[in-house]
Amino acid sequence: MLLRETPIAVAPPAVPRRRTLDNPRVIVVAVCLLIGILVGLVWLSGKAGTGEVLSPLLSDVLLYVLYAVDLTILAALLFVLARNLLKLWVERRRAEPFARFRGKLVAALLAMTIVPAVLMLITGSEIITNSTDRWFSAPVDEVLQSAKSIANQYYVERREDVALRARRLSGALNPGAVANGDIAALQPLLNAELSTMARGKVDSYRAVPGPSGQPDAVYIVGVDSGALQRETNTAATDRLAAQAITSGQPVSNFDALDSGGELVRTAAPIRRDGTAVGAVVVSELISADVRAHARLTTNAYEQYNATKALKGPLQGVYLAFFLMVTLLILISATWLGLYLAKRITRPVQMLAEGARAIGAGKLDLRIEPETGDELGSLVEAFNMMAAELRTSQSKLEQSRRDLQHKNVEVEARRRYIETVLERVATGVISLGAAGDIQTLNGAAARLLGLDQRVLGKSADAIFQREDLQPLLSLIEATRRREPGGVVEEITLAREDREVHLAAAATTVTGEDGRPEGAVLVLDDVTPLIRAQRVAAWRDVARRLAHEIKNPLTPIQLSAERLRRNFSSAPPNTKALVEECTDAIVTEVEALKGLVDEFAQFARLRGPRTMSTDLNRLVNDTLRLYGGVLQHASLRVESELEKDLPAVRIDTEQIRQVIINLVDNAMEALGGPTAPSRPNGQAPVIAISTNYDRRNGIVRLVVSDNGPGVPPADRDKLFMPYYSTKGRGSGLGLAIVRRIVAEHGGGIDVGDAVPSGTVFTVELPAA
Amino acid sequence: MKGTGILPLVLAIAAVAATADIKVTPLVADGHVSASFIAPDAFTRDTRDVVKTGVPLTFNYLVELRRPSLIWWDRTVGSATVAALVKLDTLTSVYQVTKQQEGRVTWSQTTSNEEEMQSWITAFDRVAIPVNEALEPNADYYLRVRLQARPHLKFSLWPWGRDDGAGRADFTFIR
Repeated sequence: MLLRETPIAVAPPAVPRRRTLDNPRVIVVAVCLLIGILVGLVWLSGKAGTGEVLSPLLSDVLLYVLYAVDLTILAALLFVLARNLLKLWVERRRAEPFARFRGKLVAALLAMTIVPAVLMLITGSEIITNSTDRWFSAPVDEVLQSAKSIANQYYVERREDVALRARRLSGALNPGAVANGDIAALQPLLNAELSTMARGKVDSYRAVPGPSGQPDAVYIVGVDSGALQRETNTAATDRLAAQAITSGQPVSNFDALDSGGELVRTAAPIRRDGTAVGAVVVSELISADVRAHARLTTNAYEQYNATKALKGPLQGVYLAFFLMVTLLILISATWLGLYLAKRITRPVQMLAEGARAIGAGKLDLRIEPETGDELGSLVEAFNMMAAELRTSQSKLEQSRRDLQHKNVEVEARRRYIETVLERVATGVISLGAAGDIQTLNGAAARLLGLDQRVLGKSADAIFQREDLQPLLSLIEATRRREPGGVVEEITLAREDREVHLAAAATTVTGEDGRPEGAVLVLDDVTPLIRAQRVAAWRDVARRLAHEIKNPLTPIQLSAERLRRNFSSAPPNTKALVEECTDAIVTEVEALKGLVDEFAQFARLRGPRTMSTDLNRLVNDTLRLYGGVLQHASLRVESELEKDLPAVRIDTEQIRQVIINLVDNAMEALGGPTAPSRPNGQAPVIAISTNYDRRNGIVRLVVSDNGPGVPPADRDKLFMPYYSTKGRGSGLGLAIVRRIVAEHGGGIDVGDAVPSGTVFTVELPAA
Repeated sequence: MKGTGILPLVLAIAAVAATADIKVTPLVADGHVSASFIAPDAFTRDTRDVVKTGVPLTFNYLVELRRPSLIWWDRTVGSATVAALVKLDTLTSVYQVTKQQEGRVTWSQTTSNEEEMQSWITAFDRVAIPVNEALEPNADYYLRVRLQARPHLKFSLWPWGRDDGAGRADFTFIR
């Protein structure tokens, strides 16, 4: 079974395939070869057992071969077991799929096989041992031993009988006759002895000196029963006689005859004075039938003993054969277990890996079925499922891309709206259907003095704050769902000023007409109202200047004329006139100055801006105070930011702004010779500049550690004709605000820490 | 092996048979090495019992001329294989003894005397040892004789590396 996939697919985890071992032909050939070897070994062991092949060498060779095969199989079994146990252990350590199942399957097959195999080995070895023991049992031993003893005893008796005859005859024969070769003297005794034998032969020899110094045996005379004449081996008889003469002792032997019989011979020396002078040889025939039966008995006995000597090797052959069969069964069971486990688990494992790959998103995976059975059908079903998943995934992916695209668009629009709402000066508050605050833009937060913590809270509860209560009417209006919404102008009293808002409330309705919330839009119209007031004051100032300044000159001229006319008047009158005219002239001059200021405020020209270094302008302006502050207790300190960008300003007007602010601070502190502050600090005026890079604004800050301005008066400070000094026109800060405003900037006033006032002028950077 | 099973089989495999000592006498003459040896203990009671049953008994002697080495295995310079075969005619009680060298019969004799037969099969005199190379003068050599009897007198299921007797004689080849 192979995993196949299209080129775009990511390769799934590969499962190695052992084609050689999985090839059925190889398996069939191996099994046939094994069976052939087994048959050959069975045949050989059978031959060895039946005695047809009883060669010890062959038994040894067979035993060697069987042992070698046993050891090879045992080594192979141990190797296969060790290898697969190690493999199973590693697979289990790696938590590979089906490792436990494979291990259990192999263990089960081994357990099912080992017990009967070992039992078979034990039983077989016992049967073999008992069988071979029965082959060589005691009764068989005894029967064969007895038969052999009977035959052997017969031969022994014949030999002893013949030896007895030879010894008796050697003593009976006259040594002198023997030495002289006297046939007549010897023959009667030989015949007498022969007459007592069934089939025998008696020969006599005399000793003569030989060429080598050893005596030779010379035939004298012999007698026989006639039947032996043709079969007698004369040379063998001569050698036996010579051997007896030489050794001086009786010598016996057996001599097989061509007729099938066997001669039993004994040669006994004939002594005279202790010296062998001759020998007599007595021979007796054992018939062919007797010899054949005796030989048959002894051959059977010897054959039995030869086989018995191979008892150990035979048992070894059979035991080795049984051991080999047992090992073959074990190794076959092991291999079969592993093979079955692989055949069963491999398709399932492939499916599991395929499912894992599909789970990882590799939907182009396809598993090639190897078989057409149920597992093959399962694989096909898996492939169909993967294909359907691939199709569904494609559709889902397309839908996801569309949705993502729309989400991106919606998100971009939302960010755009949020940005607009955040940047606009108009405050926007959205309420939910339940009246909870859902969104609050920066302008609304700034105008109403709220922060993002109010989100999610009830608008009714939030607007219960004292300064925000005017907004409650708007909330009520949205609940009434008045068509076209509600538009109102609301004034919120803050702690230091009033905020004028143009507020609009609109109910948001859903597609089904049900209210889904409301939107409050708040526009800060305070600057507009303030501008309207300033414009009104400018008109008043222009009229005042026009209406008042015109009569002042005639009044002043008339007063001077009266003083000249009364210069010759009596001293009292003259003094009175001069006092009155001086007062008139002085007040007229004061009125002229007042009117000039109003005129200046009314006719203030537009700024002629140019790129200017604000720090240099500040320093140039502060140098004007050098003389005044040379011996003063009041200190003017400056902290100017380096690398301050240039600003486009009208230097004269901004210089006037700086002078006004410094003069006001100096006035607040009590003048150049002001005493120390109540907290022991020296009176200080601090001027600083800084750059707000984020907003592109250059700030000029003038502060003092004077008594400060009450919060309630701060909003009035910039109104014309308002002064806390009780003198002057009260137009200074109004002019300052107008100059700054016409430069596109703004001015604000606040508290210094720990005491004092801070004026902050913001100018746009160039 | 009566009543045996797997356990005796394993024990038999692990058994090590005792070996008989072979007295070896090296003989050097005319630059050739020959060996005379006698194995007085080789003909044991078991051997006698086997012979008495009429089963042919063969003593195979492997005579090796070897050069010892301290750092490597000893090297075999030459070798000869001789054998003594005895067969008792259980009918006539006559021993037929045959001696062979390299598979060729070199001597044969019969006797009814058991001691004579025993002396014949346990002793060899002046067995010439053909060598594969010229012997190095004044070098140390040794003769090793190993005896294997067939049929195996002490059966073991472990057929490899069994000797029924062994002997060794060191000498210096002086020429």
